[in-house]
Amino acid sequence: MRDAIVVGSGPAGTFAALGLAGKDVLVLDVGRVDSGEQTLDTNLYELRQTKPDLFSELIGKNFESLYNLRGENLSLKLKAPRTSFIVRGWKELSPVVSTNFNVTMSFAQGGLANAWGAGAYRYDHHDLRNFPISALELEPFYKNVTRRIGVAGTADDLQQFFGSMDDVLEPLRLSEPASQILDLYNRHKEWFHNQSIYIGRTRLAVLTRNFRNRNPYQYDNLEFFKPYNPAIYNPVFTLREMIREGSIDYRSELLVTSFREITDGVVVEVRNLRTGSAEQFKCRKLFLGAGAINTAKIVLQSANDYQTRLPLLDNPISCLPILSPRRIGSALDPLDGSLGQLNLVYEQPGTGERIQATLYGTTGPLRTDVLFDLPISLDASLIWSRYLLPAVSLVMIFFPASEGQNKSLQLTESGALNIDGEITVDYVPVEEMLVRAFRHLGFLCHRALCYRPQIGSGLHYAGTLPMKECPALYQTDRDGRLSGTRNIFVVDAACFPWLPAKNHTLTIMANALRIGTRQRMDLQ
Amino acid sequence: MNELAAEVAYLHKAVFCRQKLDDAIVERYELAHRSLLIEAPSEEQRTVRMVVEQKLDVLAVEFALRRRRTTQHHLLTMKLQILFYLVEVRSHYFRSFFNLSSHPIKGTFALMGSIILSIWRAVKGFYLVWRYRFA
Repeated sequence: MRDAIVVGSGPAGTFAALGLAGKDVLVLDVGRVDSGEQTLDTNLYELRQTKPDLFSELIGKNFESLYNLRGENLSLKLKAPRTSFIVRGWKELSPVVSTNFNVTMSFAQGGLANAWGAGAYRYDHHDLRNFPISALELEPFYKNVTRRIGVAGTADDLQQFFGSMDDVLEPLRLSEPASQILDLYNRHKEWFHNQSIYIGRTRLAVLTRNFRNRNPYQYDNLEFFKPYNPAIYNPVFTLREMIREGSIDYRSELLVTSFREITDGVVVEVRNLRTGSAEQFKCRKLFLGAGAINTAKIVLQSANDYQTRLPLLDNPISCLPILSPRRIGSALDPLDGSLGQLNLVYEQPGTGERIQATLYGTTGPLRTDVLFDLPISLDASLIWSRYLLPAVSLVMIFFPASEGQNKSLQLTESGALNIDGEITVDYVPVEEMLVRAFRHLGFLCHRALCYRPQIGSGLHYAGTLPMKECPALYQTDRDGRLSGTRNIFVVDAACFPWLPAKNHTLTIMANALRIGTRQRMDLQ
Repeated sequence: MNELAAEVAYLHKAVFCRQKLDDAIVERYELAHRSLLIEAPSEEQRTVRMVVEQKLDVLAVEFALRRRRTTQHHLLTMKLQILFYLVEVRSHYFRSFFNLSSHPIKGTFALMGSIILSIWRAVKGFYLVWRYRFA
């Protein structure tokens, strides 16, 4: 019998395993990996001008990049030939029926964090107000994670929201449009602060210098096309380090289907995807880190429960394009990449609820991914591509998500998950405020141009087995322990009782490390 | 020349008239059809065939059909999208998509022109869609 089994190798599974280091830990994972040959080795735009044909690298021999032509709405970061492994086969492994939730799952080693935006934000006491744990309890684990993954940022107006600068690396170079916004903001700071709006540099899990045998970011703009960039943190780096050191035992091609508690531990039921056969593993403690949706599915399958509907959260998003008139006709800026350049925090009047937005450039994806959504003819869209898009930045606005929003999932007898329910988000006042703010800086924008992707597109799934001070059925306690069990722990965002308007990956890592570390002590 | 090769030649000429269409794009265009557009609705296929055979203004028809749709794109739009993807990854077409030196005045005039161009395409496109009863 193993001391611990960890399910999944994303940020949660990896950091729970790290917390358990020193014990006999087995990580069970489906573990899809990219095994393609690395041919993209310099800046994307340099390559696009010098290499005559990038069909294999950017489109793919199986036309992977044309995936959305079928009418599906897969994130642009997940459809390139070298990144499509992240979501390969998820629909077969965990089918979902839903008409109003744009779900995407990953069975890759490292999970959806293979394509995360690298936004690394700490939750402060405001963000943790519905959690049964405090910011103080998480603090040492945030520090530990920051030291391990490398986070770049700076002390500016957002430090009050993003937390300590300890161990934070120097920030990345800004693109021209982002520098322009920051300069203008600094000149109009008083107006912005009167509106409770704050702008600063994005905290990114991206290296700006050599760090733990990883090279710094090369400004190569390849995030949409190249996996495992050593400068951008990926849980796979830590997982593989632990495998190399022999501190964990890792087995892939195994899909965990259910568990049951026995007197002295837990039996884990697994389907071997290579042979199709069923297998069993035993452990003293089980840690579920398969992602908020899959972890919930494993729990429901273990209880043979086809009735209960569990809550499901994701940050609603609105995307506001802003245009800088003085940049019309500007040359392509290869630094204007797909990593977040700036963040904006808006504290709403009355409720004090925080909205966070991230500013992106437009040079990450292929132009064709964008041109067919423009409300103009295609010959005109090529003119816009050359002269207008360099002047455009995208402000991705994230809204908080709480339990009352009534999206839910249910296991059906066919084995598929049914995800349903409407949510109401008050987008308009926030969009109007941000439009006013950017107009104040001289940008052209209009609320009518806001694009609101279907709920689920945020890929910040959470809240299916929420953490409570006094947990009821299908809830977890402050240690992530599933209610009614002794040795089952939920380590991923399934245990988040709500979602602030921040990327939650850093907190998933810190919380999983906290739970793993506590249980390691318990195993002694 | 088979039907798809003739079709891509016509579409390519309509959008990238200054570039020479090479065989790799034609070959990939055909392959993409085999893997992505196997079950295209017959009415939409008829529309595409008519546009090519009658040598109609493909950009005008496409724009009108795209503006009319709220859900999935029309087959003609998808075919043009495939062509755009295939050419965009070739260095030869880089300057069709990107501007490498700063031209604020030229850019401003070009943008104003693009609005007029789009209005013209829309008017012509909606007329052609009505005239030929395109679905």
